[in-house]
Amino acid sequence: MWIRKHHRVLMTILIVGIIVSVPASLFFGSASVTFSEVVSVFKSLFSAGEEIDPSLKTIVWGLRVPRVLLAIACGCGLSVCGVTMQAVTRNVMAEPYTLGVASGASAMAALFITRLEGVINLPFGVQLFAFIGAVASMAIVYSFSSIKSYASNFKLILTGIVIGMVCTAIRELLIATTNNPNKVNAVVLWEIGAFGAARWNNIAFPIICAVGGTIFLFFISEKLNLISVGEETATSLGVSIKTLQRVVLVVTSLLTGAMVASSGIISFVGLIIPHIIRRMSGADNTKVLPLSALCGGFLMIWTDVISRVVIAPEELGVSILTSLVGGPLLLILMRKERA
Amino acid sequence: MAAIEVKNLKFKIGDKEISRGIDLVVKEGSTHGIIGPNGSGKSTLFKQICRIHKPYEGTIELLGQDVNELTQKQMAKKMAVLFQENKTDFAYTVREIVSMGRIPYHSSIRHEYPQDKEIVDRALETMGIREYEDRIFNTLSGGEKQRVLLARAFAQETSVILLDEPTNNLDISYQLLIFEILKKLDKTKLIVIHDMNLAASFCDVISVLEKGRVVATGSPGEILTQQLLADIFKVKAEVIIDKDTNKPLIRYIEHI
Repeated sequence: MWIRKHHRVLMTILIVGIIVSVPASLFFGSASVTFSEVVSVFKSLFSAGEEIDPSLKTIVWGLRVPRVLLAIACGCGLSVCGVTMQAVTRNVMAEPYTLGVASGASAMAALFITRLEGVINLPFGVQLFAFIGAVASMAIVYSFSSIKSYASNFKLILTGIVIGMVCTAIRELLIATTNNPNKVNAVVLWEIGAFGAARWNNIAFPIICAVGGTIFLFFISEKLNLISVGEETATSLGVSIKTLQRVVLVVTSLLTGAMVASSGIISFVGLIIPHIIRRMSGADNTKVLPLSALCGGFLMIWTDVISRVVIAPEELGVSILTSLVGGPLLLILMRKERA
Repeated sequence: MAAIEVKNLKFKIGDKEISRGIDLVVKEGSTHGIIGPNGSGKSTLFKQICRIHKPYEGTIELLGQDVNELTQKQMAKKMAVLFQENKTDFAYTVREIVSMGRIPYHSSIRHEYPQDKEIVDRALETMGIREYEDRIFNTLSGGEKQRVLLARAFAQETSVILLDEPTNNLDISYQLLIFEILKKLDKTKLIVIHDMNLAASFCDVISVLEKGRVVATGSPGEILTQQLLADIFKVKAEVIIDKDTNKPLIRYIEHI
């Protein structure tokens, strides 16, 4: 109850948390880096004269900094998509992947990895295909469920499940008919999600999408409140459901698609972060949305840190962690809610 | 001037004609009841007036303006609507629900205006629910919920309010309370209502809907006659004129 009235306190805590976590996260990983080494890397960036070990610079500035930025973007993007999808479908079980986005992305990523990689030379091929798959599946779901008037939440979810199943089948088919086990492995590895591929040259798109998407969705967060209490009520309070639904689904599919394309299918974040935040701040999306964005970004930094230290020098898939920790956590929250 | 004027409204679902040329005039400031048997098209008419259903023929004017020329937002500043179904999965507080009445006045980049708090406070006070503004809407009883929704409509600051069976499923004390609150509101009210005794005591004008048409409009005394109850509602009833209020009281006898 206290946080409900003082959500800015929580917001400040999360912002400070992120600001502190970004440099703190740079120390963790398979190669150990000391405080003075990190400082020396940053010094060398701003003053040309400093001489440092180039491999150290690569690890800190070339790998870990882009990685933490991508982690924040993904945590933030998936969380706000979760908030938005839950409001639009009026269903607390919805998440960014409810409308088949993840399955569409996997099917297309699998198509590229198993059939096209090495055959055609396309930079960022997997990412591009995954992105197209994500956006296309959402477009199909929306067009099927809104044939007559606007799409009812029931039709949206059901169509999403159907399209998701079809895409999963396509992916299975592609894998089953692939003889090369390395390619099958590559599909699986891509799916469990990781930020290891983050470099300065490939993080701009997901970051721009996450920031832009979050700001846009914040502007319409009040309308999300209305749609979450009912389509008829929303109409009577000045919202054109059809327009809002279309805009929201386009934005969330682009945003989720960008996240999935850059770091695979990270599960549970989009479902659980909005739940955690709502328990603290209440249901008002003008608060839930920015708080979820910050909380998602913050938690993802540390999930990524754990994923790279827990079985170092190997890395654990981020999705494995988010599901293993997120699942039980959600169950505990649900138990408390009933009590 | 008429607050709501409906002319020759027609609406179909598939091939079935639900509204077959409805004409209705709701005078400004009046409490206008709509009664009619199940399937007479009351809910459809209601949904057409608030633009959830689009008629294929006919016009609806709200305060002298064709509703098709108004944006959804402009309409929300002129007319508040109370629907029957009000369920949500989300744990909004009473204050949050009432504050939603201010959203039509907001721009997308600004979610709060200084006068909002005062207006919401006044709405909560008018409905007598100020003390539970922090309670979760979903946990309230039916009667309490209805008061919260009335407060939201009040915060919307419209001159017209539409209500779809506002006392459905409420106990008698709440039924009377809701209508007494409504009576005090200085607004045009169009109410779809099942209970004809409530309609008789609270409405200035009653329109009767049958098979997608308005078949009679008038004061409760003119409308609620034994003949009409038998013809339209298929009930045998005795109508007594209350000596104190001069309004009809219906005693139902049997189904015809």
